[in-house]
Amino acid sequence: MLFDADNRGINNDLKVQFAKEVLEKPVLLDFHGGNWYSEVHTTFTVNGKNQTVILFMELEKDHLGSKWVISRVHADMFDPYFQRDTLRVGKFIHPLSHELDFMNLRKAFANDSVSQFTVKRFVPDHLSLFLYEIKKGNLKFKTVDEVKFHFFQVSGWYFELSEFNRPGYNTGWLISNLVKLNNETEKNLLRKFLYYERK
Amino acid sequence: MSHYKYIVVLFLSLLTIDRAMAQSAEISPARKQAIDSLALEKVRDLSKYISIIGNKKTPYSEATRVMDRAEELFAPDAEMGVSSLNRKEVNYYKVRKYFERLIALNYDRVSITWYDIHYISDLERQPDGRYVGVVTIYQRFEGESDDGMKYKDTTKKDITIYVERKKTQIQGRIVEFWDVMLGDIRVTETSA
Repeated sequence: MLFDADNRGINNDLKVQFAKEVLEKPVLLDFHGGNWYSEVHTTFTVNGKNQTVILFMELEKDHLGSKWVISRVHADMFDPYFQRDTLRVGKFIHPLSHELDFMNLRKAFANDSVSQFTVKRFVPDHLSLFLYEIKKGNLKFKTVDEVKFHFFQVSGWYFELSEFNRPGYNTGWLISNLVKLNNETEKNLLRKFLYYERK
Repeated sequence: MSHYKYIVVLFLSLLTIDRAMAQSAEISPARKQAIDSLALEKVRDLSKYISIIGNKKTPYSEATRVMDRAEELFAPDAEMGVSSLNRKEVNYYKVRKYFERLIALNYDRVSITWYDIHYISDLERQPDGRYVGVVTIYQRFEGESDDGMKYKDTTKKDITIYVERKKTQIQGRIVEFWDVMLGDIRVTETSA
């Protein structure tokens, strides 16, 4: 009854294994224990057009208590600005450009895809863009659409909680996703996936 | 026509280079030397062309023909980035535009000399497999009008050199050779 029965993606054996583990060695979820966060799907308007913005929120201690803070943001509308084709050679700033005081930057910035000149390890930070666009008045908050929670507090497991408002008994806050984590690499990969990180 | 001259020079240089090295994209010291001379030859050609274009005695039709020749030395989109001692901001000119400005200078006698032609950099490989280098030269410009007005300056020119492996067909045989093209040129005025 704890699982979303409509989600066939969660293997039954996995559910049994998880239930067995947490019943044999009970784990109490700790509100202030970290390793959990919320994913909030919201709608903002940009030039009158609705745009989905996903806020990742976590609890942070502050002064005498704690508060929810935005730790990350993902918005599909920002993605086109960072697209780069890593397969093709494409345009580049040649390795001796420094000898000419980087005069060829002019040509680089005349290009419509400046992202190809960034370092390979660059990971776009949507939160900074989000704050910038809000400050500029381009993004206006409209509504919250959906709230989910991601938990990494049970050692070796990840689960997601979502609210299902529907008739019947399989309703309310249910486990909507469950993954067994065998090592730190798997955990990090999953975290990246959940944060919509492409690399 | 001048293009063929370079190809011939490179063919000759190729004869001295071992074939195994020729198959790879790496540049052997011997080939580097050959490419260096070719690059310097192109730079000297540019120097000659600039003197002819700048010379007030050169008829306009001849200057235009020389500008065409000079333009052939450059890769497409090559630009000149010019700054002076008083003005740090870089002005950009397409190569052709730069030559045209040279013709339009209001002096009756112009003397342009290039000196200290030498490589300052090794060739570095770019992501697309081509090699890039920079040759630095100094140019002394002296202009004089009939009314006695004189102007002199010395500029440093950092010239981009692109070195590329190319193929051509000669009597049915595919022959590979290294070609050199000039690229962007950064022009800075010196206090010398």
